[in-house]
Amino acid sequence: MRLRVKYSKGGRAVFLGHLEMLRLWQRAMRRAGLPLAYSHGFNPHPRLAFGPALAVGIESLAEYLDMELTMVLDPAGVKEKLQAELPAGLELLLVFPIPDQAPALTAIIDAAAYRVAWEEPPDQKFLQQKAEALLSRPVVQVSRPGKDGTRVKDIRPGVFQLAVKPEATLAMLLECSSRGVVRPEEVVSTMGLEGPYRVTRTGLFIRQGDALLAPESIAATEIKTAGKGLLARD
Amino acid sequence: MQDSDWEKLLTRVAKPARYLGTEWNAIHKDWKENPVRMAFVYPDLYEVGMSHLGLAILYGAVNERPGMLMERAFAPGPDLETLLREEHLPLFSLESHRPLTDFDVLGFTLQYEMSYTTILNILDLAGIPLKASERAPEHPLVIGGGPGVANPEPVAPFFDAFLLGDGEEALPELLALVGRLKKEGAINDRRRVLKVIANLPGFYVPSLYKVEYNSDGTVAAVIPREEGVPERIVKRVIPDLDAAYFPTRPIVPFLEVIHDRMMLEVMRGCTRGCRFCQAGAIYRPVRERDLSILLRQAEELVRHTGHEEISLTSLSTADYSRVEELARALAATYADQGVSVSLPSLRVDAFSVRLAEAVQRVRKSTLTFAPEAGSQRLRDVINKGVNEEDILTATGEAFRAGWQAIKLYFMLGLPTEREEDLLGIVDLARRILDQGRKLAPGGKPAVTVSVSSFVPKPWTAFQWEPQDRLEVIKEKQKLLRSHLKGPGLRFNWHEAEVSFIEAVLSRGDRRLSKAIVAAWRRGARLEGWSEYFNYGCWEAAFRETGLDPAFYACRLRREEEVFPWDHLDFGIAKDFLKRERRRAYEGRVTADCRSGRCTGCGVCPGLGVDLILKGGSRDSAVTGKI
Ligand code: SF4
Repeated sequence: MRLRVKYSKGGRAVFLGHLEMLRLWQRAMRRAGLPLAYSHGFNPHPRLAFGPALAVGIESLAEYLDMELTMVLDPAGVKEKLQAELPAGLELLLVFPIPDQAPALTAIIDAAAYRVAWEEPPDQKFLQQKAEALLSRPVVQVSRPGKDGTRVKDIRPGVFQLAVKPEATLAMLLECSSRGVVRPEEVVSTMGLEGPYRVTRTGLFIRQGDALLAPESIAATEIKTAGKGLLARD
Repeated sequence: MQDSDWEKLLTRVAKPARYLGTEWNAIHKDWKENPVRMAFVYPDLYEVGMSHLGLAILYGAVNERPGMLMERAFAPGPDLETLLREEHLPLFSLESHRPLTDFDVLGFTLQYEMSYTTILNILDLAGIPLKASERAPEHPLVIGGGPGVANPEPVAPFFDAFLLGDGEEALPELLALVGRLKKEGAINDRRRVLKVIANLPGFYVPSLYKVEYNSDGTVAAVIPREEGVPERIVKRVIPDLDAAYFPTRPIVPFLEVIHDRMMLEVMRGCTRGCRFCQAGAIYRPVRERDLSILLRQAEELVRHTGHEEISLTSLSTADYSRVEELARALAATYADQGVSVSLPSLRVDAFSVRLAEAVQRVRKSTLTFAPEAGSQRLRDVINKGVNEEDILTATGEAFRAGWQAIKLYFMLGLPTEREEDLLGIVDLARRILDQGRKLAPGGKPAVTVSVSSFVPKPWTAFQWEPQDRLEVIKEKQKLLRSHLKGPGLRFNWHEAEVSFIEAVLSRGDRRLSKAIVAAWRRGARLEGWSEYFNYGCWEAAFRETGLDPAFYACRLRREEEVFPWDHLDFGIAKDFLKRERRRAYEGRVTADCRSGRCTGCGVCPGLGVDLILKGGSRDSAVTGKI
């Protein structure tokens, strides 16, 4: 059976990178005694699939992973057992079954929502102006240092939404798919804003027209749409 | 340190997972309820230190007891070191982020001579005076343990005390004593504290001993400075491992560490008696664990760690008398949980290969053997106890079982070595390669020859022997390099300079401490990593301190010479070593005492212990002695 897991990552766990998380989950699942399905071949490894990677240092309220078990188990029981084996900072929010044929998380997720909060918040109005200015630009170029030199990329098409929230926090919905990723820090620095600030990933979504679906909605019998309400939700 | 400050530091380093302290099974004990506090400091990066079984054992053994706690600290990565120095922050423990000066005791493990400069760096980063004599009452007691204590003299001035031998009982004893002295308010009288420690069995307090030298620079004597200080310090031994503490809830690191697996210690010690091997000498006698205990410990380890591999550890795991039963049982029990079994050290024989075959489902990896020398004559000199036939049978079995790559370890510069011994390495490698081509047709057999330089070590039959001079080692490496070419052959060698410094430090005396300080001041640290080792630091350090490294590394020592470690007692009789040395020159092998004939190394009668073998299908328990 396939189970989809939604969890949050906070506290010291934010310092764990993608590879470390992979090892951590495998070990927690083994400790929990879950009947993991293993891949075949020379070097069998448990069948786990993760959503889009999260940069080190970023807190998240909505991370996902799928796992495959060789037995049908009660998701609530799995949740309880697994939570008991997780180090501080990782909290299971949902564990629910998904159909065997359900597409992988990385194939469906295409947007990530973030909240940026400053240690010393800038002026609310000023922030508003900056956000509007960015949204009104047709092209927003950023340079990305890579292995073979720095590349220039237009991130504007990937900035889906940008809104100033109370207490001068910034909410953004950015592209996060196999086609491309816009990083919250890139948006902050193009807006001409400086730190120190804290980034939280508040959601991962599947865009369907104007609607945003959370991965947990996909498996539910009744698909709940979040409407345009993302930025209103937090 | 404030948590927020600490977190800010972590956002600025490359591998913050090294410093979190929140790994699974990490223990955070309450500071108020546990008034005796120790930090175990591993003088290398996290990835190395967390692969060390000794740390897991002592961490558990101390934290299991009420009233005392142990936290961990490691050498910071160079990026964190820079930040700490820039921000004037002290090095901290992982569990509570407290500066190391908050602890009563700091325990360093001396695994390797090349970590000595890192120890100084850590003391300096912690704000603790390097020299024990310069420390104030409020500074922690700095103690050392591990194999380096076989001869701790080069680092003696930096330590308040050393522990010889097994630590799982001795260390809690020391901490209980520290607790008592603290309660009595006597802990600030450092002289008194040290004298009390010096009278705990197994503890050596170097400042209570003075070293006298002969005019030729050799040691004349190491003697107590005052009355009431023991003349000889005898190592501690846990007589029965079955009764000893063993950690079945070890910390599971987040980061990928060097040995990222469960460790099941099947036995301690080795009976083979290779004449160059210090570990084989100082960890005697062999004490095996009971099979049923090991199976239970394995089960607990799997349940509490979630690791994907169990490693059966010891100096020579294939020698464990019930190894086959154990390995097969573990492989069968845990296969469908995705847990594999590994044997880190294999003997060069067919039995070992069959054993590896039985447990290893993945055979893409390399199988490693250590014939150590290229000719039978030289293998007899070092008492390796294998012949060419054993080696070829073993590698043949390996190819037949599907392994494609064989790695062979050799030592260069062994006593009595001649050119034909070196060419024997080449010959052996080629014969194994040919064998692979025949036995695994269609495959791509590969033979890697890995050569380290011989380092004469205290407590071995070769402790009197000179190390080859650097130029000679390099010439020998060149000779091998020129011959070990061609498809399927690979050649690796260790940096000769590292082995040279190792040789200087391993048999050195207290005067060398000056050179260690000088090398550290010039930037030496993390020298176990080739990217950080800098021979120039050491050359300059010797020049500056007027010490001749060749005096320590390359001099043939007289048989009656007093060694800087002669006042320490690891149970091995010097006469036995002299006899072994003579037998080496004669090319006479000495039998394994596991086979039932004691070869008189002195350990069992000297320490009042016994070989503990658990019998099994292959060997019968050892009873007879001469
Ligand atoms: S005293 Fe004898 S039996 Fe004991 S370890 Fe030494 S050689 Fe072996």
